Amino acid sequence: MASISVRNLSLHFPIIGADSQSLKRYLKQVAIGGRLGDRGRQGSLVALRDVNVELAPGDRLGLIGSNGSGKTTLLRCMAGAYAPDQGEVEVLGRIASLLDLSMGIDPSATGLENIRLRGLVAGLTPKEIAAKIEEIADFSGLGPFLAMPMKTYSSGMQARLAFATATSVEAEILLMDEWIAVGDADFRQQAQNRLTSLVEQAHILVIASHEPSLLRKICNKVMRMDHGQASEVVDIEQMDELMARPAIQATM
Amino acid sequence: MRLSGRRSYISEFSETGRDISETFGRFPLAVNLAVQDILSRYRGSILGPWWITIMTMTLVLGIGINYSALLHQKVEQLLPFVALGIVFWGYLSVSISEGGDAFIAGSGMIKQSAIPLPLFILRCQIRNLINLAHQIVIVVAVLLWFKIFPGPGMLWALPGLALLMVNLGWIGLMLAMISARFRDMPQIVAAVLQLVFFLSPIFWTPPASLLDSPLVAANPFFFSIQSIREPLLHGVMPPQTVTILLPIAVVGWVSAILVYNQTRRRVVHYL
Repeated sequence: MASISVRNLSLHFPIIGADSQSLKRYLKQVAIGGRLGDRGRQGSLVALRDVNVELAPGDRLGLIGSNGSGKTTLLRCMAGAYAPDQGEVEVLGRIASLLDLSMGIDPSATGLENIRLRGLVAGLTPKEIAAKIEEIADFSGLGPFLAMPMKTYSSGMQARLAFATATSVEAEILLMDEWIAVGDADFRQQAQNRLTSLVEQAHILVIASHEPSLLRKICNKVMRMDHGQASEVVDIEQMDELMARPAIQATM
Repeated sequence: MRLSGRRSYISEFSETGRDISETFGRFPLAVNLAVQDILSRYRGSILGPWWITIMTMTLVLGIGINYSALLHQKVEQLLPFVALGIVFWGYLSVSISEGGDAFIAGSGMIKQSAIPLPLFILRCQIRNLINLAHQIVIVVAVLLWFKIFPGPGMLWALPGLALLMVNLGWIGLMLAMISARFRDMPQIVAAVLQLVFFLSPIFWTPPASLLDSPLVAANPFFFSIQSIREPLLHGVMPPQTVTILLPIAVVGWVSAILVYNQTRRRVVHYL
């Protein structure tokens, strides 16, 4: 059974500018023994602080919050890309992450090769991909273009393929960063239907969005994030009340 | 999937172990990424990776013929030595320099997914092994042309190659971590490799006066090549394979794992 359990999750990003990434600067610091002012010291940014979320099948959680409040970081933690500094993230069930549709896409490879590659990156076995490839090719509507290198595609065509592939993974847990809208008017409707059915099939959905109306439509729970800190998870009915609260004070 | 904060030094080892076992669990992904790397690098080219073979061949002929004249050595003595040396040096040096780039090149995937880090080292190793397979043609051609067949002792080249792969694995992992953090590292590595290439007896046979010099007698790069070249040319495995390369593999892997243990959580933030 699918579940997501985030307990006391904290995450710090070391701040490594292009500047401090040079070895010379690092060695200079060591050799001189003093501090080169704040620029030479390695700072860190609190990306998430003591976040708690418990999700069970049937939960559709919307994440709201201003830019830089930690929504995407939390999604990436759930996808397993970031290891927590403190606390725990436990995710049971197959994850489909629609955080970056272009992940694993090689522009010089053909459409079909990209479907295979993207599928493998998403964790499908070659057998599963072989079983799905026709359906994906069909849905993308690209027909003979699938045998052409992806760089010859228009950006709309690229988006179609990426979308068709990324959404072909049936998963218990769906992670999304903003609702995806791709393609022309015709494809857009098909894409919406497919995404909606994917959301309905998924046992758990977590989506970050700035659109309260969208969250009202697809979510049943909502959580607000401010400066890496999270509110409690509340029912979607209480979203207005949640939004009206003063921002959680950043405790650095 | 369960990820947690650092609990203890020991628990980190089990996470490191899990990363490594997951890497091999997703072997098909590593192979596919490696093949895709090669396909996309040579897309539209007719000869594809065979170009490396041709480039190596020109280098071998150039150095082999030129040096045999300069050093007054017989071509049939020097050329097989140079050819095998350059083929395996190419594999060694490119594996090392590309190993350093492994995490940087995979940063898109590392930042978005739970793919374990060592998989990107494996991808790099497989890619270079495929390239080496194309170069083996040169080795076979040279051995046939000069009618070199020292007998079943040639098979010693296989454990020699295996040990080289083991060593390249830890070097790649170590350099990938350091290079992700310090972006000068790939250039430093490239410069050092170039120096090593000229200082080691890869394409020149060491004269008697140099046999005791550490450049010859204690040069792990030289013996990495020798552990494959000597079996193929003379059917014997140099003892330094066991006395020098094996300890390096053990110490290297232990230190790479220790460093990985400390940095595995941080690498994603360096990218």
